[in-house]
Amino acid sequence: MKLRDFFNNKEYRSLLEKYTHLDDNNGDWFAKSLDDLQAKECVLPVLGVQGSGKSSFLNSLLFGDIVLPVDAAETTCIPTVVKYGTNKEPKACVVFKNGEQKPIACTEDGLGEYAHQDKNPGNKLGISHIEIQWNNDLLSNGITLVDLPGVGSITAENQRTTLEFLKKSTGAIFMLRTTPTITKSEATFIRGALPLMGRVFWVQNQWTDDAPNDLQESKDYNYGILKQIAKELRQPEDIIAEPDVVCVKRALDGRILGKNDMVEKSGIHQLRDKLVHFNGTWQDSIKQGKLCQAKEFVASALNAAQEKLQLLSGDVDEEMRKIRKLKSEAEENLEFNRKQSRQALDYLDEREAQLKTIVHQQCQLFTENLRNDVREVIDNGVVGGQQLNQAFQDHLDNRANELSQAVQPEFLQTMEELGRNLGEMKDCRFNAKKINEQANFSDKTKIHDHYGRLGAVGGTIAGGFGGTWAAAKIGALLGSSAGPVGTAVGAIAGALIGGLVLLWGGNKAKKIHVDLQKESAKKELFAFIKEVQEKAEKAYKDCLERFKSDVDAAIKQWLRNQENQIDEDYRAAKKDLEKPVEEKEKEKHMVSQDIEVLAALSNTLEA
Amino acid sequence: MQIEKVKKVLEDSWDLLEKSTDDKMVPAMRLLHAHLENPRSYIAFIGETSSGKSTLINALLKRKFLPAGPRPTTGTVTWIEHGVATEEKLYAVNRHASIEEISKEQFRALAEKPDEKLLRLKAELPLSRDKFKGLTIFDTPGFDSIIEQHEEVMKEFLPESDIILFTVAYRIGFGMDDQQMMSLIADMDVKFGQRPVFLVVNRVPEGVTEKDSRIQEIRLHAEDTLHRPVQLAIVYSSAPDPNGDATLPDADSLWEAVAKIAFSEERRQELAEKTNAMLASLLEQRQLEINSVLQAIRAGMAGIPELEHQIAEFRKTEQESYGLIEQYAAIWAKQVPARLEEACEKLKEKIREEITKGNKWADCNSCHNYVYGHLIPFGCKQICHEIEEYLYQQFEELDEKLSEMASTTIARLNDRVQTIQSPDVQKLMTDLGMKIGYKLAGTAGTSIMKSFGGVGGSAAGLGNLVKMLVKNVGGIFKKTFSREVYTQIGKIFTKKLLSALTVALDVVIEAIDYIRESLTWQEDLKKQVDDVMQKWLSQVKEEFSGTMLNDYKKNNIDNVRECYAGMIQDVEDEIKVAKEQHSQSEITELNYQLEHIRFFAAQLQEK
Repeated sequence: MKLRDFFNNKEYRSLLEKYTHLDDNNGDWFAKSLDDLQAKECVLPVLGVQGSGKSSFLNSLLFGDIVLPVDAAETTCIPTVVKYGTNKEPKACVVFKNGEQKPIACTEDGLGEYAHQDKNPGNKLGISHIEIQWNNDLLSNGITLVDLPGVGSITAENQRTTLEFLKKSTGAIFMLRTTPTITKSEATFIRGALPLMGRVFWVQNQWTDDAPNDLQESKDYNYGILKQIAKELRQPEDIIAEPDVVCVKRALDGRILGKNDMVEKSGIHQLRDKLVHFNGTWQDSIKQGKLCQAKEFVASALNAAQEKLQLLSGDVDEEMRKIRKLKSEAEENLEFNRKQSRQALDYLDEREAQLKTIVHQQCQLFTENLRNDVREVIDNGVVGGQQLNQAFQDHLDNRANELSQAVQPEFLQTMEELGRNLGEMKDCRFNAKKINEQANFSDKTKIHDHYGRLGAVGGTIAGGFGGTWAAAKIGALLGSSAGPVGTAVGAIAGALIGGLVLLWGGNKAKKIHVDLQKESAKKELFAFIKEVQEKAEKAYKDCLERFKSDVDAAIKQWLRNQENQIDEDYRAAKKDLEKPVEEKEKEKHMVSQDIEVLAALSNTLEA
Repeated sequence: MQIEKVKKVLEDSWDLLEKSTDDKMVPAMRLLHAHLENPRSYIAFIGETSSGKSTLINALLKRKFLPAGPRPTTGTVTWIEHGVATEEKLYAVNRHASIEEISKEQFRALAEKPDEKLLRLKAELPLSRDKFKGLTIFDTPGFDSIIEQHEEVMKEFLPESDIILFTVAYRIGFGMDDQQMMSLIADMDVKFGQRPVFLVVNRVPEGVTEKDSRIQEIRLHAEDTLHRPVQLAIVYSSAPDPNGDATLPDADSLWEAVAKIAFSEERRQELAEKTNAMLASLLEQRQLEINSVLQAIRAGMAGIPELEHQIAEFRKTEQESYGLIEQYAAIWAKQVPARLEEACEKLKEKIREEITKGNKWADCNSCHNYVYGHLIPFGCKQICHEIEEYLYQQFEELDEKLSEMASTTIARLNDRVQTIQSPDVQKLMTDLGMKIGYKLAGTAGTSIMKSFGGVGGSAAGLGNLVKMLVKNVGGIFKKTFSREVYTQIGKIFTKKLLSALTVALDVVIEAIDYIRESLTWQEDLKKQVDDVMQKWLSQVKEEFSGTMLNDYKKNNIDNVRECYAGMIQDVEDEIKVAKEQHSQSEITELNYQLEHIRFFAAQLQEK
């Protein structure tokens, strides 16, 4: 039986619903799974700091010419989406926020007209994105590459765009540099975004002036930091693929000049091969992940059916004792879960207060340091409006970075601790023990492989879920213990990036008056700094509160579901047991049939 | 908790503690006793030259004891003990620890112009006013006269000080030197704990209150730098007498506020707690010592082969650790200069661009200020942070590997312990492992030990400790290895690099006029920036390769050496004991001592 047919089959669906509590925890799992299976698009945003060579990389990978504008400062303020189309030559159009589209020339100049900061300052043209389509083989199977604004010194809008694309992405390409190696602020970004990124291709760009001898060292260093981050996030180290070194400039020049040896040496082929392979297999990976889930559900149903048959056939008193015992075991588990949840929530309460203090202190520190920066600059004689503005902006960015670097680990730590607390919770289903004993196919690593690394597909795992924590989501899908963990970590991951949004946003607008007196310039800037501090503090605290109430609600809902489940399981079993003999016989017959169907299904179900 | 109680326990346990084999024990006991015997409050006076420090002390004494005047009058640290002597006694404390009594004339002359051998001056003064009895004051020279060594001064006196008086002259305000000095105090906060800081605004015109905007900015600037509130004290100017001589200001309210804190119950409580904790750790240490001696006696000659094997193990690991450090140092030697060069080149490029762009909006003067007042200092600071970050990552990595080596050695010890037949020898080796683990874990050791069964606890204790060490590799050893090294040198690194910048910039100041007059100022400025950056780079590179690199290496090597020497020493001590003959009465005596120490430790814990 093909997976797709299985998801489409109403009979199977009702069969599974009959024996499991499929939709109590999981919403419309069948429909969602079908959507996932049929996903046509696999979004891979290209991320990296400004100047890491994102646009150049895409030019060399796809176009073999300078099509995406690459000129230095803040080139890409508008995302460019490159996807498959039937046309032989690339065709471009701008998509406005109101949905209108306008074809444009697919050339550096044509795109630059809209993408360039100078031509379209602050996106006053109201563009949503630029779309390029053509029948490039790399894109043939639904891979969609997105050239995004740089990570780091970017505006709030850019940051929001990045976050949006990350949420609907299946993976990402992350551009690293050879020199400098991963900086603190890059690491901060990666830490926040990794949970949302799914399968990441790390590309270390080697500029032509990077000494070849430093390459290996630099790569080892970058790789080490990435693994360190994975470790901090309690992810297996091998979730980080080894970075590929690509000399983007050489690849591009080689393609423009038609010199194959240059392209060959650039390392772009190896990466391209990987992407081509990914293009061919991403759907399969999703299938495998779905297959694991489906098999687990079928097994769960089969098990429940067998239990039921036993119940109907066995001695009434004996069976009654058994289900009472099961009930009390399940209740014990539930009690344990309640205790564990209380602990988790108490911890969160305690941490909330601590985190608020930390946030307050760090925001205060931010202000104090920034005021001293301003004093220094002004005392050094920088008083002209424009220069003072620029100097202030530099310091503001720097201190904002420091702030998020100080706050982030605290949030991460909370997340980890919470995950630990919740991760110990127990399965309350009546047949839980048996399922877990029999569940040899629910090989965790397999699920992780197929699902975890792939991440969300087409935005179907919504609400902050995704990426490497999809495994936790699967836990929830299976009605097993990891339930609320997924929600918790998903929400906080969003918060971490959210925190950055706020700081990098809203500040750029500040322009102090030109040619103020020293003291009034200070005064004006100090007032502004205070404002930023208050905003930052509020945003962090809002974030925290939202997170807390989400977690709280998720845990409570989950516990309620478990309670109902025990109740239902018990009542259903009791009802079966108390049925008159004839009815039991009839039912036995039906269940036996169901068992046959399920057993056959479990043997034949395939991707 | 009372100081008297701590003192009594110390005196009672003196004879027992004195028998320690650790040569640091007795000095520690003496120091502790001195603190308990004479609980004084030390007040450090800090401030710019001519901010009126000496005058304020004279105001306390109600006589012009210290030379004070408009030119710098205090050239050395003066230690004033008020109310300890019946008549005035003056001393010169020399560098080679000799103390000589000196005349009043000599005292005044040395105060203004110290000779080479003088370390500091000391004055024991009879009581002038009852309410200020027991205040011990350090008067320090203004920073400009000691700007090079002020860090030394701070290091020497701040840890010993209970209260800090930071003086600022109202008319001069809180300048960049004050900021630098105050930030040193903030650094000390982290290391030695916070102590009250009085911000004394001196020579305030009559009628000005703390609402005055100037005073408010002084306070804000001070607090921004200290990152916590200061206690503001205003001292008004005093009119000269009819002869035209300066008179002493009325600073009584300041001194009363100081005395109130110095003699407060909280202060005594704090002291009692501090000394209690110190004594408790001394008792615990001695307890460990006796325990291991008893263990060694019990195991006797049978334990020697095991112990010798352990020494060989430690020596081997120690050597491997050195090798690893060498490997890392070789990488730093290459990477850091290369990174510096690269970053400098990029910064130069950026500044050149700014200068060219500057033509549009800036005249020579403001462009010059912008370059030297912001672009260069900010850029260089960023470079320093980048390198610091690189080194930090490297240290972490090295630390982790060193820790892994150490904990693997202890894990091997644990494995071996399981195979030992003789219960006495097994216990000996188990306790040895615990003791070493305890030392490695540093201050956190006590609680860790307790949670794993403590000294003399079960063999499972060691196993658990090993498990924890392995799990937290790089966590628990951090105190011992690079982390500590790093925090110490991280700041020094940036500071040294930035002070090299000041030197490089000094050259520029001299050349300003030339540039201003020139018609081709932009090109000249670019050239000058190139020169400055070049000069900075070469100095910094030299500093790094010549001094810092060796420091880093040495620090790491020293730490490893100290760590292993400690472990080896422990084992050797046990071998020595095991080889000796021990009479029954000796053993009885040791047990008796142990019991007493436990008794004293329990006494300390009583409320």
